[in-house]
Amino acid sequence: MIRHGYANCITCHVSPNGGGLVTSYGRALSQEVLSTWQRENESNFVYGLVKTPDWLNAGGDFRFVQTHLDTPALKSGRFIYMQADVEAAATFGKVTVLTTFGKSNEIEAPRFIDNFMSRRHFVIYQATNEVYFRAGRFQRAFGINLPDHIVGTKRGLGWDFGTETYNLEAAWIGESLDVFVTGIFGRPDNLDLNREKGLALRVGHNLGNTYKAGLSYSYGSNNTARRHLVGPYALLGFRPDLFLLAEIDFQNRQPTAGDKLWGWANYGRLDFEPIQGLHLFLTHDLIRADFKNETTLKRSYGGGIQFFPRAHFEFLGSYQKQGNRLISAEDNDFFWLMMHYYL
Amino acid sequence: MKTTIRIVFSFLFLLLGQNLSASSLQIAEGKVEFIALASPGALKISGRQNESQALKGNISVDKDQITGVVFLKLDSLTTGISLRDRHMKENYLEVPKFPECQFTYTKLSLPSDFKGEQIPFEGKLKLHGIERPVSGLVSVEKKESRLSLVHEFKIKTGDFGISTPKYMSVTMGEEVVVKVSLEGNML
Repeated sequence: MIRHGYANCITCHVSPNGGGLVTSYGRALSQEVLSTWQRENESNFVYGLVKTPDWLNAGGDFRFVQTHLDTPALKSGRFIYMQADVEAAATFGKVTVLTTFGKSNEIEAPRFIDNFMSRRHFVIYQATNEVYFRAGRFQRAFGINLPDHIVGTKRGLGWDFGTETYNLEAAWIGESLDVFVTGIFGRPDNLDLNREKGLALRVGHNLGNTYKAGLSYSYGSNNTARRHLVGPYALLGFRPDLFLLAEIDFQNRQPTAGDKLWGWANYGRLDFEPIQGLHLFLTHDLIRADFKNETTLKRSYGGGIQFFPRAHFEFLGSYQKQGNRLISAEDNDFFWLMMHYYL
Repeated sequence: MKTTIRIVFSFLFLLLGQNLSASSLQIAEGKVEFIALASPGALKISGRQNESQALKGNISVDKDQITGVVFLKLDSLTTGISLRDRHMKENYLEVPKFPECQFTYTKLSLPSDFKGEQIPFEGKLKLHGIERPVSGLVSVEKKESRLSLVHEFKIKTGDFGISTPKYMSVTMGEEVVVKVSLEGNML
């Protein structure tokens, strides 16, 4: 949305760092500037069939993906259910409480209850127009908050979908600067997950109306390692129909046993929107945990089409050359189709 | 006698000189931009006029004084999002009722040389049917007969009887920064 002058996520999302449930304004905007075709009030929660009171904001996301992998040794296709969550936020004055509830990604859940989970739940206190405090379970603010969670700067760094931790966050979101400070307390409810504890800092600076650049830092430790991560990111809206997202993160990881490793992760997406709602894009992403070890390299590059025909619908098709040097010196062909429906 | 003739000639020369120095600015390029902040998220709402002919004026430069009036057709304003434009024009500016805004210079004294410096100006702005004094800074540049004036001033929507713009969960601040650029030939 940076290309339309929306430099801060909270204008359209309930979460100060974006992602997940959108506000009523975000819904209207998704219809107005993101979709190819639109009808008045079409983007309302379940098309306006269910009226919610002003203090309640509700939504839900359903994502499915079909993948196709082609390697000299293996050809495989998989249909993956990614997400089926409902989400609700209640606002009372300066306090907002948000929770998601949905099906967990457990394939063989040991107990019936384990089939369900709440990926995110938190309380936001808006102290002033600029200052927000948040406590609960969510992903730390670091780099660009991409929905594409499989890339090197997300999954590669251990921040995949479902790895949200319990955090305490303070954010200052101003006209030209935003600062997020996050204390990370891991998953005290499930120590077996061995999630990191530490802190993260992200500073973003708006450059004009449609450009933003920033720097992120994170320190984290768990039973197996401690690490520092630092790197710049940029969201550059050249024109309303052309933008670039870029992030580079350097990692210094000290395993409990073993030598210190220097590595990096990066991501880039160049996106052109010839018709409103239809995006043609090129992407590149990479993670290399150890500069000295070629087998730690995973990367992909390719392109695709993303289509938002009407409010509530998103389709994405992408072809990537994908390489994992631990497995092969050659890059594979990887194709995936994703469908996303939101309530 | 000689002294009297000299005085009369000097007076005539001054009058003639004064008439020669009075000229009008033929606006070749006019541009209006505005920016306002909205919350949450310190959203910058920026807009401009999308038709070059929407801004017209009648400006005179007499010695170092600029006087005159500039009109803007408000229907030409756009913020880049059509729904927002519709709300701005229908609900807040009430363009069908008040199709134009008008700016009248009340005080703008040009410097002796034109080096692009910012100088103060005062004027009256009639918007939404209400006229209020406004003041700000103007950058002036002159190259031969070409004159360029870039004004910047702040207004408050409430001063002009415009209610605070609000849509869904986003509320715009009352203060709007306005930038008006005029460029043309002195005739």
